[in-house]
Amino acid sequence: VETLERRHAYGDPGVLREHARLPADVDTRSDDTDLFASGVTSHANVNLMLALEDAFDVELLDRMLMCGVFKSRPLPSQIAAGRTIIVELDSWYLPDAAATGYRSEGWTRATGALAEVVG
Amino acid sequence: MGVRVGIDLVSIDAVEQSISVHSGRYLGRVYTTTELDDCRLADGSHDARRLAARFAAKEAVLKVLRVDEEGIPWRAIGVRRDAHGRPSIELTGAAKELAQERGIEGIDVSLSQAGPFAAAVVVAEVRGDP
Repeated sequence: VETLERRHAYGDPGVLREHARLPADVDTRSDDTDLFASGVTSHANVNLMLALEDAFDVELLDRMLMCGVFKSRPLPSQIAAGRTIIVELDSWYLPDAAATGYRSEGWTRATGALAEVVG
Repeated sequence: MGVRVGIDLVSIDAVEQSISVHSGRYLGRVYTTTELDDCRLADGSHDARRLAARFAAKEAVLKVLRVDEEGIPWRAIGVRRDAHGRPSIELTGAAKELAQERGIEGIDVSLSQAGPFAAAVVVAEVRGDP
């Protein structure tokens, strides 16, 4: 989710820019910026999460609509903290799919949980 | 017995915008059925001022619960009104469990609206040292 948000946030108009009501320019945000320390309110966070659901056609858990659960932090640190990170993937890059079902059965997207980030 | 206080302020305009942009999905994911019923206007729409006060109450409760990254669904914290219109807090599910874990024994709320903002103050009695 962090990756999705980050990728889209820099688009134009960008979910973050449009819904988070950030007082500062979103483009000055770095990977480890704490959105809430930057001025995103609890209520704006709800809007942000709902907008992310729309943008990526996913449904987040209700508890993720709350401030503090979702933070813009590097994935490795979140995994190290024991949090479950669910991501949507382009199936082309999944090794066990080997791109076979990608074309024949339309498996263009897959959802998975991250266990480790390497490299 | 210790006491904790939580306060929050919510822009009514922000709630109006959320209703406009996300409509039923925003209302259904954030507010309890009771809250939506209490804030429903004669034409079937919802009063953003009253909803903003309820959102402020939810956030104020999170502050007295000292929630960090546990993740509590917004609907697990609800505001009810008695026959005289006095508000009270109802915790369910994860919020109720966390309150028990944190030693919260009693909780009360006061709501207010003025101009572009709605506010809530929550006071909680806590076992031991808060």
